[in-house]
Amino acid sequence: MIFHGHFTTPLCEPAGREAGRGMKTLCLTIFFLLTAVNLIARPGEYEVKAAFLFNFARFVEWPAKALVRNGDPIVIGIVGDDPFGDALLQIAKEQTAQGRKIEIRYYKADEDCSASHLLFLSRSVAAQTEEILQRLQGRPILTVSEKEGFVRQGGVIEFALVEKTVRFDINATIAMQVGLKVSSKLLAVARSVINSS
Amino acid sequence: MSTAHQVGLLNGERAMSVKTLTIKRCRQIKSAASIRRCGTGLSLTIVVAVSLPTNASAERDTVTSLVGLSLEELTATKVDTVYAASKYEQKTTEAPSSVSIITQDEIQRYGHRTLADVLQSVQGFHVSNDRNYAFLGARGISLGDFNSRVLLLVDGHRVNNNLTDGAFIDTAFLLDVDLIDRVEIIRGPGTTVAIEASTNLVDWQLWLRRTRATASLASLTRTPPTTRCVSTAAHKCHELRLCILK
Repeated sequence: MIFHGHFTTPLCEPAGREAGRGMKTLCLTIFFLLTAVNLIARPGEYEVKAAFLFNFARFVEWPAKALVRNGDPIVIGIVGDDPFGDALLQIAKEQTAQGRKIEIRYYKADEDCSASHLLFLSRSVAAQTEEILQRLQGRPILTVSEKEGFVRQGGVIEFALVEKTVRFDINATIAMQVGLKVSSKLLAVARSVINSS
Repeated sequence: MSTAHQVGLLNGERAMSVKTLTIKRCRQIKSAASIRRCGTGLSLTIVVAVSLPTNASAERDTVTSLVGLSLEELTATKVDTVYAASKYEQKTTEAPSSVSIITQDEIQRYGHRTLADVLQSVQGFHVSNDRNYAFLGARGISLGDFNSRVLLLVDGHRVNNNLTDGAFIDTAFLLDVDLIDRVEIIRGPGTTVAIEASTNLVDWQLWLRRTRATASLASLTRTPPTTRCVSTAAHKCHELRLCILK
């Protein structure tokens, strides 16, 4: 719509010089429009969620049995369709958490995903959530999902959208049971913390 | 409609379409036999081409800056949910289809009272009414049936009626639109693959025949409702998905 006007009007100008000037203005307008679009664009939901996953990896301590050697990477597993696009892969490539590299692995709903430290259950496997959680019971895995009621179902972290911001709930009881130490920094910004003890 | 996005048009593609326009423009200028003017036309092409990598790297920069934020800042970051959800979710599952999304916010702001009102506000769709029911047409073509080429899903469940296979989009629709969280309009192959109007028409005709065939097949085999929903989804022209707030 915006481009329409710019493209049609200079065409009507007959004189060369005027058209030249028109083109220059046009160049500038388009250039600024394109850059402006980039500047005002809000980050995508899954870019922010990817950043949160990275922060979870930073602020949760896994028991020694889960990360045996010094060089072991923190494995982020994604069960089902990957909604993150390149965001998570980029983070894995560029960042380290707790001095460890981050590795991304992809799983299907019925696959064994117990080798990961942080497990994101995508919307596409929402129906199998219970089954997956059952399989992982007792293991030191930080399960994350967007499914409503996930923390009450036995998951550790549940994403929620509140007034266009990404928030999360933490089930600290489950986290403690499986041996995960969730930093107080995370607990402080959580929307709600389930803590039965 | 400002927040509804056509997913197919990502940043890069938008820049590309601008580029094609530029080339056309340059050609027109050439035909006017003015070298100097064509020179400016060329410089314009370069500007657009340069802005392409800027668009691509913007996404990378966004992620880098998000990672640099503190937890508190990250919690306060407003996200563009419609854009992101459609961009990524469609990218993996329904790559070639074009999706429009109408959010609850828009429904409230524009005061849409029926699903027909919502659809009327979407590019390429028009709604006619015979004072009994509302009928959905796309790209200027009304099919003259009871919206049976539209697959209407509420929370993933098919709600087309059993009699005509049609989707109720007027007051006969089973829910109050105020309960709708968002409407996702997923255009099927009949509307997305064909670009020119004439081709589209031909495609559409083909689609009519094929849909009829599958519909009769489905009724013969009496597959359970869920499987039927999945199998027909691929053959329908449009798929409407409604998410209802819990």
